Amino acid sequence: MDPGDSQCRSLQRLLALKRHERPPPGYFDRLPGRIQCRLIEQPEPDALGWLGGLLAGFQLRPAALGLFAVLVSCTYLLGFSASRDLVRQSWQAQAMREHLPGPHELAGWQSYAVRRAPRNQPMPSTAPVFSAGYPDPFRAFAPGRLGGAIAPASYQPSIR
Amino acid sequence: MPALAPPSAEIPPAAPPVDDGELVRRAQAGDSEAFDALVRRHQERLYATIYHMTSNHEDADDLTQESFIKAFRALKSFKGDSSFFTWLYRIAVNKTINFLKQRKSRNPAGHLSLNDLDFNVEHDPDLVSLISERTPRREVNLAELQEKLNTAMQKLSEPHRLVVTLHDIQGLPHEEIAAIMGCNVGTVRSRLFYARQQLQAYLSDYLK
Repeated sequence: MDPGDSQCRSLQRLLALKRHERPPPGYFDRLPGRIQCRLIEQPEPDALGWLGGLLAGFQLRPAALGLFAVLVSCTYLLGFSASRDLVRQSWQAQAMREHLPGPHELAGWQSYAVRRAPRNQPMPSTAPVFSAGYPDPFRAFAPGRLGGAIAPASYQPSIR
Repeated sequence: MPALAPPSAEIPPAAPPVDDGELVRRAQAGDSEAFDALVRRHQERLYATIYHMTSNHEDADDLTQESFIKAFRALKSFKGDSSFFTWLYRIAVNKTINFLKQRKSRNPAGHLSLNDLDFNVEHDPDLVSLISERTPRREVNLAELQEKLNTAMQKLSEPHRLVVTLHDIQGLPHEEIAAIMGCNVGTVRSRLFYARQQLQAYLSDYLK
C-alpha cells in the first residue's frame, strides 16, 4: 500500500473526530427562536436607506463590491485625465490671448499695409452704396445731411 | 350517557416532507413558519461548517444567526438558479471568511472554544483503532487530539480549511463545493490535495 495513501486515510479518520464535536445540549432547539427574535429586533437594510441596501448587497456579493471599486477608480481616473486636458486647453487659450497683437501693434501693421498699397489704384470705398437713394433708416446719414461721408472708425483719409 | 367513541386505531399518515423549493416560495410570500422550517432543516449543517471554520462556538453561533438573518432579508432576490442549500451556504461561507479575515487582523493567534465531544466518539471504530493502533502516543486523550486537530485546521488558509471542512468532515461532493465556493472542480481538488498535505505535516505525530 502506498504510504501516502495510508496517511491520507489516517488523516480522514482523524478528521472524523470533528464530526463528534457538539454544541451545548438544546442549542439547536433554541436557535430558531433566537433568529426570529433578532429578525424582529434588527432593522431591515431598507430602513437604513439606500446606503444600507447597497452595503447589504455587497455583503451578499463580494465580487460586486470589487466591480464597484474598479468602476469608482476608473471614473476617478477618467475625471482626473479629463480635468488635466481642460486645464491644459485653458492654459493654451490664455497663452494665445497673451501673444495676440494689441491695438498699437495692429495700428502699425495697418499703416504699413496702407503704405504698401499701389497708388494708382483707388482705395476701396467703405461708404455704403445705394443706387436708388438711401432707404428710410439711413436717410438721416446721407452725404450732405451730416456734412461729410460716412467712414468707419479705422478709416484714415489723412494717409491718402 | 352516550358512550365515547373508541380512539381510532389508525394513525393518520405523516405529512410528506415539503421540499426546500416549496418552503422558500412560502417564505418569500411572508410565511415565517416556512422560514422557521428552513432554519430547522439546515441549522445543524450550517452551524457545523461555520464551527469547523472558526473552531469557536461563540463565533459560530453568532455567524450562524447572522447568516440566516441575511438569507431571510435576501430571500426575495433568490431566483432558484442554485439550490437553496447552496445559496445559503454561499452566504454563510462569505460571512465566515470575512469574519476570519477581520479576526486574523485583530487577533492573529485566534482563540479556540471547542465544543464537547459526544458519547459516540468512544464507540467510533475508526477513531478507536486510530488511537490504539496508529498513534505512537497511546496515552493521548481525545480532548488533546481534538485541540491539536483544531489548531492544525486553523493553520490552513481559509479556502483550504473550507474545502477540508466541506469534503472530509461534511462529506459534500466536489461539484457541490465548487458551486458553494464559486470556483471550478479542478480548483477544489487541488486545494483539497494541498490542504491534506499541510494537515499531514502538522499532524505527523498522530498519523504514524
